[in-house]
Amino acid sequence: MTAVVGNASLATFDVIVVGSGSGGGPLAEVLCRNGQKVLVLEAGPNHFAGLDDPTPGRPGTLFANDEVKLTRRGFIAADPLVEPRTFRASAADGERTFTGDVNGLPRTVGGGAVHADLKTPRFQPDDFRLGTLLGDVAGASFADWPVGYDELEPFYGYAERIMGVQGLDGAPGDPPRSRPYPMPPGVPMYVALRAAEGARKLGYAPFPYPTGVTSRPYDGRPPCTDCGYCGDYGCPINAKGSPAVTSLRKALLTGNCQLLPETRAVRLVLDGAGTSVTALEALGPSGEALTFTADRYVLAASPIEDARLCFLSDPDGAGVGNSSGLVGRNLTFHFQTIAIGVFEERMHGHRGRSVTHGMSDFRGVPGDPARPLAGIVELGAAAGPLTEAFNYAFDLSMIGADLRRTLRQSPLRDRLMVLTMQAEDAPQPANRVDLDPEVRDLDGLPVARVTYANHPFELSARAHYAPRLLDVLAAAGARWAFIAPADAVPSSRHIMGTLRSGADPAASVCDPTGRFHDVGNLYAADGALFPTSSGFNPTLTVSTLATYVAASMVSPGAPEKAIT
Amino acid sequence: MASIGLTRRQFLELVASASAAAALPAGCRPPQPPAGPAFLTAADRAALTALADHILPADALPGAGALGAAEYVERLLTVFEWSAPRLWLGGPFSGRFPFPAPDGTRSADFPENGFETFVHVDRATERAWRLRLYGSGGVEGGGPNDAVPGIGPVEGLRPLFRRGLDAAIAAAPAPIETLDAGGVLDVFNGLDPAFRRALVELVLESFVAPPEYGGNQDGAGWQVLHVDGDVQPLGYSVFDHAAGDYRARAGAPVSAADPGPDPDPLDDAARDLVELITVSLGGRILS
Repeated sequence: MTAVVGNASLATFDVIVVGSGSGGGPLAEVLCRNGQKVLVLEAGPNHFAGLDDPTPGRPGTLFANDEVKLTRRGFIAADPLVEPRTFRASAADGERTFTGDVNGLPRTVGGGAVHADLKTPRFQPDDFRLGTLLGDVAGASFADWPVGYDELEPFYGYAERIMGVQGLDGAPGDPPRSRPYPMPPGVPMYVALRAAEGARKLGYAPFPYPTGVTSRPYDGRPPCTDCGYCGDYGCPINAKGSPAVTSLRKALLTGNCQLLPETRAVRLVLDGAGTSVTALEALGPSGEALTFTADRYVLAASPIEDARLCFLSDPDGAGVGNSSGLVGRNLTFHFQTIAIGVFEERMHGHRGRSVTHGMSDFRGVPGDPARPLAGIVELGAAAGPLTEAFNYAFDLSMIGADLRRTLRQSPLRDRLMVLTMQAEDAPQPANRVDLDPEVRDLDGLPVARVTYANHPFELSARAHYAPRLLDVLAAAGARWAFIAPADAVPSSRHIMGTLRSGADPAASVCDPTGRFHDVGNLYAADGALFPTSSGFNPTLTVSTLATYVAASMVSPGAPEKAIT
Repeated sequence: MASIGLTRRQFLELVASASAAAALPAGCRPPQPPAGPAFLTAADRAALTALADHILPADALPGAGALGAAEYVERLLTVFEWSAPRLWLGGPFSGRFPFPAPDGTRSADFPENGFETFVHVDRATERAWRLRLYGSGGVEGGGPNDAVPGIGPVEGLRPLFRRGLDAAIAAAPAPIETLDAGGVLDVFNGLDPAFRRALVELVLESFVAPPEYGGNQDGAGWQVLHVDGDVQPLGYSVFDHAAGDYRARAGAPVSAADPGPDPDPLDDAARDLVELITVSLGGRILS
């Protein structure tokens, strides 16, 4: 569906937003509810019908329990044949060592939250102060956030209500909150209950995972039915609180918003001094050249694509907004440690929301070498039957009767328990996004190149906690337990940094409200602003920060007024 | 959800003994003629069906070939031979499962089958899939990185299947579908590696894809794997609006162990496989 969505009659705009995901959606909602006229550009297609139709039961969706469509035929993905990224661990490796999917997020209306199983823990208060709490860490660039937890707390609550988050009030480790969770926890998965039972035997404190999925009828959306097609899939019934069906839809229903799907921003046009954006150039659904103008412009296309657009817009220079030299730098991914337990009995992880419990016991304590900083642990299940079949056929060269018999018994799907530990990823200036000098996308534009290597900070945390993850699997009753090999090319889909925020223009790209220090009418409103990664799933904090940025745009100095 | 992250490099040497191929009689039905634009000849379809049944042979239930692997492959290879691309099925429901009832049970109201239609494909995706199917040489302008060493050009699935099937049929001592299991194994092992990989990928896809793509006829592939396929809109947890809470679906609990016996318990070969993986990754054998 390529049609204009929302108020098609709008011809002039206060704000243009690049990206319709967890940053762009919440930002647009706050702006529009405060009377701003907003144009949202989304590079990907729109898989919803009636996103701007207030009729109960709308919007309709084309998402389905279809493993092939979602995991093999790129229904929401940027296809690496025409939109690749490149990767290298360091400049010493040459121009690139890999070309293809490098931590790609969905390219679709709703963005990354469409495919996520949408785990939505808040960050902890200390996560915003790691520059102070950790001090100098050799080779790393930890920094305090320019806003703290207390300042963001009302915006966390607002983002939770808009998205519709389920969770357990008073859960272990939950930071202070001024309002209860909008919904109670949903139905727990058997595999997660078994994992939680094992964790408790060892003295840990698992809890129902905060999740942006309905557990009750909520805001016109039905309760989740635990169909099992959650992680990697869009939701067929809109129980998942993707920005498309929550914040972006609310923005569209105000009449102040226009959404253009399949419209790729390709260049910010700046004035002669380079201090103000005068226009944004894009390619439309048929590849036609388009130009849009507004008073203000917001980047919310994911940290990698945000930085890429800054570089594409200044091909002969250092990049838009880059007097600090930090555009693209301090890129972080959550460094995940995945522990896998195999059971004699079936765990039927295909029923449920992929992950229903978590534990924060491995988050650690800043500066305590006995408890290094890692992150939250997801207690969940495995991937779908096609992934399992490919594991046997290609990783194990299994074909024929052996393959069929093994698939029927399903040792590596239906009998798995998967513990995924996120981990604080030490920011490093050398971990960065720039433009590949040779590789191009379908329109002939340079693609993003990721240069990224792990720091001993997260590697030591993995070494510390991996045996403890195996202990949990053992206590839960697994018969076999092992740690999956670390990614050769990052694939966590948790992407942060590249346009670091801060008060000091020499040490950051954007100011505390998301505005570029160098370009007065240009903002960022997604994970690109994060100075550090925390050890908790980033989606809710992305939405919270975008809400804060929008509120600061319409109510400078008193952002809370914009959400009350 | 996570994959187990196993790599070919890490396991190929370790599990050769666990991966010996064994072909079983397929019990195929005759390959079906195309319902739309054709890519395969009758001989291609017969050969492809036999090879698919080698990859996933029959047991008490049919093999991948009998369930429509050739149809699945042909429909994919001809996605752009229709007036509009037929790459993505619609949604959100197939009509195989009903709506939940307000009282937390299964209703008698089934949705329309949204899987019977195909939906719009955006410009970037169409460009990518034309490249994937026709190759750089078959698409005007080629691929964006054809000239970059180590990346391009793209070899398309259509020329790959044409070349691979022609070579397989030519190399076989008789029509592949007439060969015994050992004969099909010889043919399979002699396939060009790139074609063999693509063939295995698509055959496995065909086995678990919604039947509307052409394989997995009547959902028999799902039955083999003990999965339900597309369970929406019923799902597994059915909300009782009067009680304000969920009811578990009979026979398919979310929060409890499955009732009844395991339909396919682990055998010693599967245990040995998992043990081999565990040891190779430095894991723990616990009990």
